[in-house]
Amino acid sequence: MKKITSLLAGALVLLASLAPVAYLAVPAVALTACKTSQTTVAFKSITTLQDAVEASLDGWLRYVYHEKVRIGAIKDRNEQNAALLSIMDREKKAIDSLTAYKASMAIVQVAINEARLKKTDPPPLDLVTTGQSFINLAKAK
Amino acid sequence: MPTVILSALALLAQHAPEILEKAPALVSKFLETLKKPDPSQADWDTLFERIAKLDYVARYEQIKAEEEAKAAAAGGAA
Repeated sequence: MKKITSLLAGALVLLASLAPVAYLAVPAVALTACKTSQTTVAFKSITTLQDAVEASLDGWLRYVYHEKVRIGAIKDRNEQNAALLSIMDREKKAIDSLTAYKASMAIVQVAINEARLKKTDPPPLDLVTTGQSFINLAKAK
Repeated sequence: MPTVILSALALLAQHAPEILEKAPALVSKFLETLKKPDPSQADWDTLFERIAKLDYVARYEQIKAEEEAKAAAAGGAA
């Protein structure tokens, strides 16, 4: 629960950093967290993380596209090849990170399904690993 | 965790400012999520399906098509 709450707080800071209007969400989260189950908190946290990952991935892929266009226009062959190798290397890291994220979430899914079957609260989830794969995606640049 | 996410975002935003354009949509989605009642099994299935369907190459091809369409539209307007 502590990790889930920490994740939710992290997601809030992320959103608040994106747009001041997100601060409006803070009291809403506080209220929601007070009267909802751990399962609901887990669901909302994971949904928010997934939204952030999708937005980040889109931003990264747009960068990759424009970078490839720029590299395509480089006249010096050696420089062009070096730039291509560099972007390919960074893309590999991004793909690895995305794979790690999906693998972490697959583990989360098993834990959630098990908890639902047993009608218990979900166990604390190791979302730090998930967050780490997210930052790896960013570091790929 | 907040540091991890913020650092990731800051790094991405340096080279992909488009991510900031998505901020309002992200906030709307977040607020929508908050309003939802307790999730059903179908809600969980939909969420995990979204995660499973995240595909780097397919998403890149989609974005490439969007960017090319944008460039063509801008070229046509000029």
